[in-house]
Amino acid sequence: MTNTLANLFIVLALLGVFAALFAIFLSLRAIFSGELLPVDADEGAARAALVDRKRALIESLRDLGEDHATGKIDEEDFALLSGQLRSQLAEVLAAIDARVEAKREEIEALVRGEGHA
Amino acid sequence: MMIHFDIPTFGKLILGLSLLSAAYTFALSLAATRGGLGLLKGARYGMHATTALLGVGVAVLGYAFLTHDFRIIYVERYSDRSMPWIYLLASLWGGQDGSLLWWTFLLGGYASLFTLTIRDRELSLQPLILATLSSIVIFFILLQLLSANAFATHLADPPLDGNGLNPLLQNYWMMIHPPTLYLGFVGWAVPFAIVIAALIKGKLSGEWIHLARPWVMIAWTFLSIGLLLGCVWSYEELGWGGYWAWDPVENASFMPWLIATAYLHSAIIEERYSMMKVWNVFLMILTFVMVIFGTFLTRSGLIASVHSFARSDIGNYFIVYIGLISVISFGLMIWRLPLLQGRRDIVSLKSREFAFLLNNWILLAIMAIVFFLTISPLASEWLRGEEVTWGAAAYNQIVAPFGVVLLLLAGLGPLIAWRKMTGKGLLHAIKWPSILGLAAAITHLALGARFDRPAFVEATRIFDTRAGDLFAAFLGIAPLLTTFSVFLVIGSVLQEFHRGASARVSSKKESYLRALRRVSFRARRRYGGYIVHIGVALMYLGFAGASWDAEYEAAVRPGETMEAGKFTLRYTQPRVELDPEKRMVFVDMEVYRDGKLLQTVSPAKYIYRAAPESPTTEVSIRTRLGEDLYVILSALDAETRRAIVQVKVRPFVLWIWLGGIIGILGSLFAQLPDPRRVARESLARRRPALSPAVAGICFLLAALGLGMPGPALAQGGSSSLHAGSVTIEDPEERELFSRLLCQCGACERLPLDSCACGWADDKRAEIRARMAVGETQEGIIASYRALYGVKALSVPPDEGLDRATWALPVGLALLAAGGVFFVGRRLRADGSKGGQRNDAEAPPAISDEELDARLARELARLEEEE
Repeated sequence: MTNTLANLFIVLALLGVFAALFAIFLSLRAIFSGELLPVDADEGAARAALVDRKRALIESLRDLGEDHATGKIDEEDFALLSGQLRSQLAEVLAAIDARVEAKREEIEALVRGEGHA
Repeated sequence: MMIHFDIPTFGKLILGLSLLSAAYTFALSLAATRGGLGLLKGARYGMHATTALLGVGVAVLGYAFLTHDFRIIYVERYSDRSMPWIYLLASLWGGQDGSLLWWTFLLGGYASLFTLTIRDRELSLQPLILATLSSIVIFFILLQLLSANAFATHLADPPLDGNGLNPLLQNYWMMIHPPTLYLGFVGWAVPFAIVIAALIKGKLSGEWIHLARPWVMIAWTFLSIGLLLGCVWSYEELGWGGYWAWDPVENASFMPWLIATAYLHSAIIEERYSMMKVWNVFLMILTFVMVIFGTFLTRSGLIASVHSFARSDIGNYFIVYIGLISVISFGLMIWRLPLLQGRRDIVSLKSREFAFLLNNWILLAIMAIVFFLTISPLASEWLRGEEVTWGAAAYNQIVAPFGVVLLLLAGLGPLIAWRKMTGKGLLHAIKWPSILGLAAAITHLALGARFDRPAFVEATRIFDTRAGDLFAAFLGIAPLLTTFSVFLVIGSVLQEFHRGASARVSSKKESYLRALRRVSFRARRRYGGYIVHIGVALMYLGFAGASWDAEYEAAVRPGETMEAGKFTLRYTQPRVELDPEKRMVFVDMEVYRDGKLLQTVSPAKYIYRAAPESPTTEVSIRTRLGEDLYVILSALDAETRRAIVQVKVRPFVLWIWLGGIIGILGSLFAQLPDPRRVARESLARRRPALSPAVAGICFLLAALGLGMPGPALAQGGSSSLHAGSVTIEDPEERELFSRLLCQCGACERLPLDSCACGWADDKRAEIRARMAVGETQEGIIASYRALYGVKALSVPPDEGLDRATWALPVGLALLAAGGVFFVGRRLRADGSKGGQRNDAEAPPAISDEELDARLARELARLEEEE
């Protein structure tokens, strides 16, 4: 048993060496591909952050609604707090809309052949 | 047929290549920050290559153990030819050098998993995350090459056989506990790297919290499992009857867990309300710094611990590294303070946000106290050239009040609304849970004594001051307070589930059970967290059980009986079994209650061939919900067959394990990926999505399956690991012995009431003789101190600088309490201004009607997704 296991370990080690060599080969190939980051890499991340923020605000509003429904907060506070959250949500939605609109215009320009490829 | 390699040379070569590969990855990652996707992909593959090479190193070392290659010093020191293969593999992490190799391999594994799961998300952060991770890998490989090379060889001819692994480490827990704990430790490198990348790039508007979340949960879960398994191991295997000794190395794992738990709560506030940004960054950095500090504590040997490795120069490298990462990380945080200004709108002290803040402060206060007590021997030595020691009793008395307040908060937190709650609403919310808690407390008060579980107990005063009286008084009422708090938590969580389900029944007209299922799965994080609270509450029940521990001892011959509370134990016969490694001597005892045979228990001594002078104690435990019967064979006379047996009745210990399991299940439930979301993402990518949570679980299974772990316990050469048992019948003796620490030089931090070594035996006999001739406790303590120094006492005396030593934790607690209220009030004041300002400045982005319509659509979509 011990001998078999020992041989298994050395086979694993050899497989590891091949895996490492293959990874280095892929790494070198990727480097020399000269591929660049997409120009909108940050834009994509910012959009994702806005979507996350939107989701968090909607969940907060839903929690607030549940707290109100179960009597944890009174009418006056609910109105005030939900007003604040709705105001923030409106800002986030407007920001998302602005980005979508800008993207739509960019795509339309591309379709018309006015934009860069 | 065996395959032959020059293993030591091959191993060294692999370590060197790993370093080159990690440096290559680091360089590519930095270059990729300028925008090269090809470079980034190259760095990702470089990270995989590094991990593969580290895996090769581990496999080669495993091969060396299995083939008894005693040319390698590490193999010779931690194995011998009689050991079965399973413990040969466990020896991989039984010592300093091999465990460091494991640390680094697991780190590489996490880094590779991260690159596999993140794919093309957060492309601008990825290069810096990889650079940070590879820099940590570089440090650990360098450490091995400079100071702890597992492949170092003997200069002279190798010995024919090795020293063997400490017998106390030769059990199945050695296969399970260290890997889990290590995965919990190493896992914090990923969220740390994420926060560092976010700080450098200035992307601090919530992306990093979101990206780090699954990795935080994975690391926290593994760390929790590791801590729990450590307790089980200690309890079942080490034969001293306890599960937590406040040993520095245990504390080293506990401190990051405390900070991480604080982070888990405060991160929710940032995700929801963009608050506490600086605090969250601070907590994340501190968690990782404490992980490295814990590794330093274990490995430097600077602080006496039953777990630690031998003293070595490795600690110097760690001190430099801790300093470096602290300066860089906290420096980055300070540099980015302008970007970390979140909303300061805690609008009420009666809000969940404030409850979370309170929770954070208490967790950090406990951490600060544990940190202070842990390093005080070192600090005291630096300041005045004399060590002090804090025994487990001191920790228990100081930490207990904070623990109970934390439990109360775990009950109250879920009941409090986000943002703001009226006094009336709060009273309404806490009414039924409080009634449940009070009913349980009154029942305990009325009936506890009848079942040997009184609501009040007498606690030993260990500080000879008024504060000491207060600590002892608190411990005295702790059972009742715990009963109230545990049932408050259970009531509050049940109420939350019920209210959620009831609201859904009303609005959706669903059946109650369906509504309960939907509401819990819809908000898995929240309800998973509540399940964790239930688990924690049950664990507290188990901790409180220690208040009613009872111990019995007797010398019995075959056929004789001994009484242990409501149990009677009848010694039937001794029994000897043999296997290739050891001789096992059992004592079979029948357990009776009210004349009815319940079970036969068989405590034993194992005498290992490799270490016949140190027989191990194998306890036999009868476990029930009400109590454990913990039976220890202290000694057996081979000629007369007379056995000295120690029986401990330990109430509610099983609840600790059950609570732990429930808590971990709750944590896993909170991390469950949404199957529909995973399916959607898979379709979008046209290949299966690998969520970090799933990946993490696979990682654990793979690690366990291959037997791949790291150390928590180490073979320090002379460690006793609490093994053995001690016979003390007189309570006065027990109190005195609990204050005096063994000074044999090997049994670090063990008090004489539980140290089983020969030196401690002799010292107990000497002290008993002095007590018999009328010498007082105070006199004996004073002479013991004069002989061995203040470090020989389990609680520093209340005088001179030592007074400051023990008073500081109390000061910290008061500071924390004052800070909470100061910050709370300040935030409330700022919040009321901020809220008005927000309303005034908010532009009319979208009309109310449109917002209503879109909100309804979004809520419906969210509902559908969940």
